[in-house]
Amino acid sequence: MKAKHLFLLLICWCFSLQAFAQSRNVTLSGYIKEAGSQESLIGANVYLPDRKTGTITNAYGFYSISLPPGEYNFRFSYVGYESLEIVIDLRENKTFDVLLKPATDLQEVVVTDDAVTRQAEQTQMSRIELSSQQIKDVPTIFGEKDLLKTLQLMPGVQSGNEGQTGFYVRGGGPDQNLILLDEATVYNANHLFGFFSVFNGDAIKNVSLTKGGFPARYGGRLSSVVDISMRDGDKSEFHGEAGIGLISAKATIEGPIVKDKASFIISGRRTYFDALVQPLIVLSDPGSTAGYYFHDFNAKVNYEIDRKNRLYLSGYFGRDAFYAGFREPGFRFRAGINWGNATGTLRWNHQYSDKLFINSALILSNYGFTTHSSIEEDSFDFSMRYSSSIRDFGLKVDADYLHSPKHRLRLGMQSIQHLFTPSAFVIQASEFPEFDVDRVAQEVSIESGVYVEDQWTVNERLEFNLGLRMSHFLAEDRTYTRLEPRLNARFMIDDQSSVKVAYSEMNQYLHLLSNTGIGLPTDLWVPANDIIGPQFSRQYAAGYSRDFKKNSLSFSAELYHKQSDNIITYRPGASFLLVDFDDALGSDVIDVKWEEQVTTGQATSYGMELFLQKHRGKFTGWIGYTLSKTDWQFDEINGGRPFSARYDRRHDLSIVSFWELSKPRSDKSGVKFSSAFVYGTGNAVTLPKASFDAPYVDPSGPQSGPQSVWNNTIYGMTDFGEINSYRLAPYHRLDVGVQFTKLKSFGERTLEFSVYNIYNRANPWFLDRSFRNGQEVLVQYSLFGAIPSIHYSIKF
Amino acid sequence: MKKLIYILLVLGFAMSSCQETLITNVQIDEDPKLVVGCFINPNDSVIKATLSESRLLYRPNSQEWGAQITDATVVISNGSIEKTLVWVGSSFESEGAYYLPMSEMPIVPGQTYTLRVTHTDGRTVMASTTVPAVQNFVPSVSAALVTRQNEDFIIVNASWRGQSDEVRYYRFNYGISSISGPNQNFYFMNSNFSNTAQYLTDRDAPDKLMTFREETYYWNESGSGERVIGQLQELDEHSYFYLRSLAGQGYNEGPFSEPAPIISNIEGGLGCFGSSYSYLVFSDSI
Repeated sequence: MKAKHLFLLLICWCFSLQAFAQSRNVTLSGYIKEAGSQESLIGANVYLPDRKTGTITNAYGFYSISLPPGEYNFRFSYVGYESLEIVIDLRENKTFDVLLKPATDLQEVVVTDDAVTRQAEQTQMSRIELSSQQIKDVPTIFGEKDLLKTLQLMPGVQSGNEGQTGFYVRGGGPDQNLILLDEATVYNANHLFGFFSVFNGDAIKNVSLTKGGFPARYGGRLSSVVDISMRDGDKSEFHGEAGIGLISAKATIEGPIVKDKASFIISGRRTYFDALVQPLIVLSDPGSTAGYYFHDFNAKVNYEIDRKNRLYLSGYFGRDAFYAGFREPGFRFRAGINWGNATGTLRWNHQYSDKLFINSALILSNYGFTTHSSIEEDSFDFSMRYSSSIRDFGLKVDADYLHSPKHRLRLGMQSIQHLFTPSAFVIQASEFPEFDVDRVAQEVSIESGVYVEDQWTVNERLEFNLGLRMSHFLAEDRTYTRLEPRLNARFMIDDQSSVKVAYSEMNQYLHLLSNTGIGLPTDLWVPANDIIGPQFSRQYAAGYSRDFKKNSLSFSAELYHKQSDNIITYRPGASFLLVDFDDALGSDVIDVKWEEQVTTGQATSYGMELFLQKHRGKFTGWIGYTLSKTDWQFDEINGGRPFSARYDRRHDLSIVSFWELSKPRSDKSGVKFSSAFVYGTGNAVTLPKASFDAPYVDPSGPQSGPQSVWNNTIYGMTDFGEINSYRLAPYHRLDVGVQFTKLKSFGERTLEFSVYNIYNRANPWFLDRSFRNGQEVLVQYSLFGAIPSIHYSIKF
Repeated sequence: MKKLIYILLVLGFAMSSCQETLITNVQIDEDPKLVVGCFINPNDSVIKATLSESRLLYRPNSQEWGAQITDATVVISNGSIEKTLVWVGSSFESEGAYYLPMSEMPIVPGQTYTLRVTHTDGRTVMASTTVPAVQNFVPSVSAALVTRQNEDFIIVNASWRGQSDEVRYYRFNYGISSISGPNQNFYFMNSNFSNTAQYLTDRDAPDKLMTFREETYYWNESGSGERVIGQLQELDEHSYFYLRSLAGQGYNEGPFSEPAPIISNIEGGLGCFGSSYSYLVFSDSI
């Protein structure tokens, strides 16, 4: 109750701030959109050069700025678009919608020095924005453009194993990243066991990654928030894109439903490896079938009811499937593994006034994993199915309220009902019904949060983002209520540079049970309960930002320290399947309590991140470097002594560059080169160091003690020494690509060649012990050598 | 263009196959460790300890599996007196180990003992254990016979409730013997080292009812009446974690698996110096 009272007090304080704020101001509000498609532009700038103040659009392209009555010179801008500069006589509240045209090479001159949000001016620190174009330009394995792999090239974000999309932010695990697609949580962002992410770049408008200094509107994870917005679809014309690469093909179509009022976008992708392999399998074994595929599908419609009301309905559906089977007369065997996400979001934007913008959302998210096998014979049928899932149904309301030039308030609430099905198990045997099993374990919990944020501009130099979030978790046997204070502060040293500090506390009420950290579909989400409580983190950050060369270059340096408590990991040797067979026949299935399989501990991570970005010109890109250290401590592991986290990485370097040699014209191909070099300290692993014969005590008789006259010994057990005390070889590689884009009568076509790991570095994937010439040796396995790829796409 | 795509496709998949690299200079900054095994129980008649040495990996190693160190000094102490265990070589009756009759050092429930092992090369390791105190409880065990597809099974159920004063660790093993006498030779059916189900603890709720349940094939060899004999051992925490970790390592060996280290209370060494107290319980006839 104390926490609730404190929270109410803070809300009252925020409103009282508004009461004292200037009441004679007038407001300019409206939407900033792309000319033509009317796609709303997120984070577009509204800037008043004379007053050196401004604001940015929210996630729906809406802006609102409050000023004393007067005549002002406004500049509206967005990176890659022509700026618009206009004088507005602002004597009373006004609405003003802006349509910005994409810049072409002929119009480069109009790209002004504030066309990008000046990094130094942003109060929010530890935040990175990615555009869909950046994602499309980075060369990747098999030519598959991947949002999460592009994020891994940013400072403070580390990849896990070779080729994996799982990422580690400031020492936190993949389970500590909140991934939102149009506000719906994506619980498993992996296709093909983590080698590709589920996000189709053609359907994405904008991505932001927050690593620290979390605004109060975000909660529920300790380490990062990846906020992904899907494109709305063109409101004026039909357009499409299609592409084919080495492993998949994809297509996107968008257009108006009601011109200038409603639009749609549909995008789909599917791998075709199974179709290529199946004929070979049939050739070698006519009765067999086997394969793997994934597909995903994004769709969105939006409808502008009137100036003040908009509806958005968006959804994602993706599925991975492995299957195998064999058939002959009188016998059929089938087996498979399927997993996938489905999300759906219905949003209603309502502009109550020039100062108050409210977004309400109904959100559905589901992740499920199923493995099954069956045998059909003339006289006997047997089938087995094991599945697990998490399903969310949520309501979210966010209000953006501007009352004065000095204070911008955000308030909101969200409540999510989680339905966990850690295990559902069905066995059916036609002739032996006594062996049938049908059991489903389910658990419901409700996660809620209310928050308030105040963007407080004290003066031209000093700005705060103060926030408080109250999170609440109602599990079956326990309730948690916690306050989470948040702070971001920025002080402008001069026009080009600033210092920033941030503080945030986060709670995570969901745990991911993951045995390997490589994104297997068997990874399982479970709720905090009275035995294993929520994870908690406290993060401090401080940084320096500077913009150079008319804001075409930006540099930031950040220091952070993060302390996380109650993080979980499996106990040594624990099973990650939550059912166990009691005997060889499987006639009795025992539910394994996940709480007994895990142990809790703490993590300490700290580091320094350097980030230099070039935003404009023919040559663009970034250099990111991270120096960091992450230690874990679990009472039950390593004798309670701290040890390096598996993905503790002392040095992590990414150099990404794009060189646009020429722009596409009707008579000549545009050529764009790209490259990405990465270097990282090798992962910390636990290496078997010695073998030994372990004494064992076998009960010898009921009336004596356990002592046997025979030496019960388990031969060849392994001594690992200190946990994660061995370092794999450093990881590095260079990927290069070139895109040839030509304007055609129908639109444009792009042919891309790329090579992943061009110098064929054998990077460590895992180590294994082996016997060679009678001696035990250590063998390093590497996954990907140099991989050339080709990708062809058209756009109309 | 089709040829180019085909060539790239084939090249891509061919080059992406796993590569092996032999790591020739594995830097392990470690010496071989002494491996001690000593489990004391008031129900025994002797104290026995085994001693061997670990074998470093990734280098030529001449040490044989199962080789015992026979010339070390092994001393057990209860805080007031110290006794040295004596090496006794293998015979028809027993295997080579260090022995001490319990008449010379009684093992008393609730008391703490320390074991110190000194190798002739000067290496010394030591460990302590506190023998579980006797609990005033009565475990129960029952056996139900079921027949499926003309095969007989028994379902063994056991339960007990430990005293709530502290966290306790258990091991439950069962066997089948004729009613006429429990002294005859038989083996415990679930005592395989990799079977984690035999180890139980009440650490999440110290006064909870502990239950054990297992189903197994049953065949009556003797033809006479039989019953289930259960042996409930209360283990000290060192034995529990050590024995459980043996099971864990035996279970978990995939290349992506988290390592399952063997938990040891031997300071500077490996193995375990542990203790237990045993309770016997008999079911009705099957």
